[in-house]
Amino acid sequence: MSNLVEWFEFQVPGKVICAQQCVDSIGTEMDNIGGSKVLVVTDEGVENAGLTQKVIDGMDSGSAEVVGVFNEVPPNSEIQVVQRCYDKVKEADADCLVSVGGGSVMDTAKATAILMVETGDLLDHQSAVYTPSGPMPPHIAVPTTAGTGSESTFAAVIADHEQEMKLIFQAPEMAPNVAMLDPMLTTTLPPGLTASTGMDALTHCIEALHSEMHEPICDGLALHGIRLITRYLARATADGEDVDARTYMLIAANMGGVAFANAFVGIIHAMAHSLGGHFGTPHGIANSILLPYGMEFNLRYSDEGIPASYRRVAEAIGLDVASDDDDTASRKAIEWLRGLTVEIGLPQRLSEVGVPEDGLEAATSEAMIDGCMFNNPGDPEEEEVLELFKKAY
Amino acid sequence: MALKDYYEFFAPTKVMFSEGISEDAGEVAETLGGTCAMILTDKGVMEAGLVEPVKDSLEGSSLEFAGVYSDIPVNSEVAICNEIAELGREKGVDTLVSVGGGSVIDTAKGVNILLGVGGDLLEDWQGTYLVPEPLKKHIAIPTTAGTGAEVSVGAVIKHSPDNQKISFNSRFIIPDVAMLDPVLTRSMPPRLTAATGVDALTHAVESYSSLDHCSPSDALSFYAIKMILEYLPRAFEDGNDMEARGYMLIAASFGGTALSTTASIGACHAMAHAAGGLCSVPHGIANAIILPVVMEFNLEHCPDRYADLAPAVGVKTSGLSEIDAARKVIERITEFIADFGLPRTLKEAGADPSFAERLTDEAMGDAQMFSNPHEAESEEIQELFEKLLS
Repeated sequence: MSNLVEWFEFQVPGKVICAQQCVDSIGTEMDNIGGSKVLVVTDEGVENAGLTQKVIDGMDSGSAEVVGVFNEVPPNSEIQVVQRCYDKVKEADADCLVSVGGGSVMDTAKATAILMVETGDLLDHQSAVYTPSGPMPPHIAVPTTAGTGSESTFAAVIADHEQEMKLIFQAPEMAPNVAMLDPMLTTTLPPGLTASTGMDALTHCIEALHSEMHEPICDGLALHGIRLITRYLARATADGEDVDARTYMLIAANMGGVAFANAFVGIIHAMAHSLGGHFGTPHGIANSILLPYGMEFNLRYSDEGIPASYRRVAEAIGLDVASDDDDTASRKAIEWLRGLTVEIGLPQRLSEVGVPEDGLEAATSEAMIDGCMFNNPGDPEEEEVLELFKKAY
Repeated sequence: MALKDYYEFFAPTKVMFSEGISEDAGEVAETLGGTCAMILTDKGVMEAGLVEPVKDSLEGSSLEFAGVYSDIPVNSEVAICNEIAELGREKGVDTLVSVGGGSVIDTAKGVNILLGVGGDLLEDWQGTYLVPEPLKKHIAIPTTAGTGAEVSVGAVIKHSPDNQKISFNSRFIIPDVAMLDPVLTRSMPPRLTAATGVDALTHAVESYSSLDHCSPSDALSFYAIKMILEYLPRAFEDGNDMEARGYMLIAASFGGTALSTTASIGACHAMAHAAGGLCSVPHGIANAIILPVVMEFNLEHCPDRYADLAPAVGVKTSGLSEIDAARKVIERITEFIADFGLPRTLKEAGADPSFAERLTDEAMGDAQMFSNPHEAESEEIQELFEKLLS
């Protein structure tokens, strides 16, 4: 541990609750934060799996009433979806939100909350330092995947197809008031999705650790997230009903979310965002493929303390690296992580997931201007990033 | 890793860290939307000149400045809270800025209850989760790296005439902002640095082994221990080592959040509270004396938890059984504390040797005892006290 950052801010505005069947008491939690007419935001898959109904049933534990359900959130939410969700809020006269789903659902609810306090168009309020002009409506988030950590972060990522861009809305007030981690809502997640969302969470942890904005509090959360994911992701993937493993994965994803909400992420996310935008590569898959390559790349930044950080990753995994130098320890960690992605059955190369080879240059230009790139240590050059894409190809 | 059935993690304080950040207190108060600020501190902090920059910043802000209250004693009292609240009400204070150690910050929490919801601290608000609604704004600026009061959910305030320590726990008394400025801890003498640092270490070790531990508290405790083992000796040797001072402030905050999350942590804290209340042994010193003894006492009930800390304290345990690994961790922590040259027994720290029974009664009733890794019998605790008093 060294290179203490000169300045940082850290916050976790919401409360986190974790227990099997904790959604049974979601009504009580809503009473605590003052919501009375609830719009449930979800997607069709989650609804068809019966998860939305479990949460609606849990509302009976309190006095708030469910006045509507908005189930039209697509895998990557967009401006028009948020608008339709807000129309539903008005139609149902809702005063608070419960989101049940993955990152896209929770982000849609966060952005809808903006429309509930502001006037005008959502785009008028698009900012990474958005300041709400009034108190945000009560919002409880219930994740059904263990990946994004969006239930505790204060940003929403929403696509704007007209501008062909993913827009970021960010303010600490946007964090849901309560995040309820209930492993019983994740036991039916299929192995492929368990693996890729879990690798998304792991990437958040590792990128928070090598981010230029990393600081000790986030480091602690990220490293513990790594300890948990490297122990439990393979178990949750092999046996979806392993409730302990499911619980630890939810907790780890939540910690990863808190860590990267405060410390931000780097080159791997910049590249994954670009692949997602251009070729629709699922975010978790892109992160999983790029993670070991990105780490190898960042090893060059020894002045920024990267090999020393990755030694801590190796220690968190539980590798015996006591007699290795930082670089060797880091490489052992990277190899171990590669082995994990093989064990849980994820693709290893971009060529396996439909990324066209002649699209790598366009992906590179896009990645170079992604906000995440600026938080990566050093100053990666365009040629270096293209080379990195090719390696991962 | 045993998984806890249910936990809540609530740590809403915005933590801000930087050398000299206390000079921005005024701006931060503005962002909280306050209109009239008051500083709460004690004489020592005043004399060390630590309040000046905070005061200048508040005076230069758009808030009205209602002055400095600097008469908070080392172990604050309910009567003091009442007195300050009276002053605050007269002046329309809606933003409290506490600059000091745990006693000062806890006093501000008590004052905040009175300014926010009125009533009587003892009759209406002692206990857990009674305060019904958000209070006034509170910015906490710690001048020691130990208690973690700047982020924690509790306040401990003494009540005369019987010197009972009263606990107030409420999510609404958690400060809104903690400003961690290592410059303010630079003038702490080595012995105070060590005692407060070991207090932070004890929070982390005991919350790691607490029956109420959960993943977020584990994460925070584990890395707090790692930082304290690395940086407390450096801050002790050279008070001007700003990197070490910085890490210690951050580690103490970690410890405070961990403690706040587990709520009840263990026998060491219960015993240290008793020794503080009845024999005036400073809290950090009491923890330094008691922690190794309590770890030994708990060893066979939580060897897995102690063994788990091996990488945090930097001992190699490969090839060892769990219990032997746990023993090595205890040895390392015991040596670590011993190196600071603090008293080794309560007798050495000035406690009355005839007090074992009274101390035991007090400790057994302390809420911190409930989550010790195993249920301690009164006779066992008395035996420990007798050993430490002889």
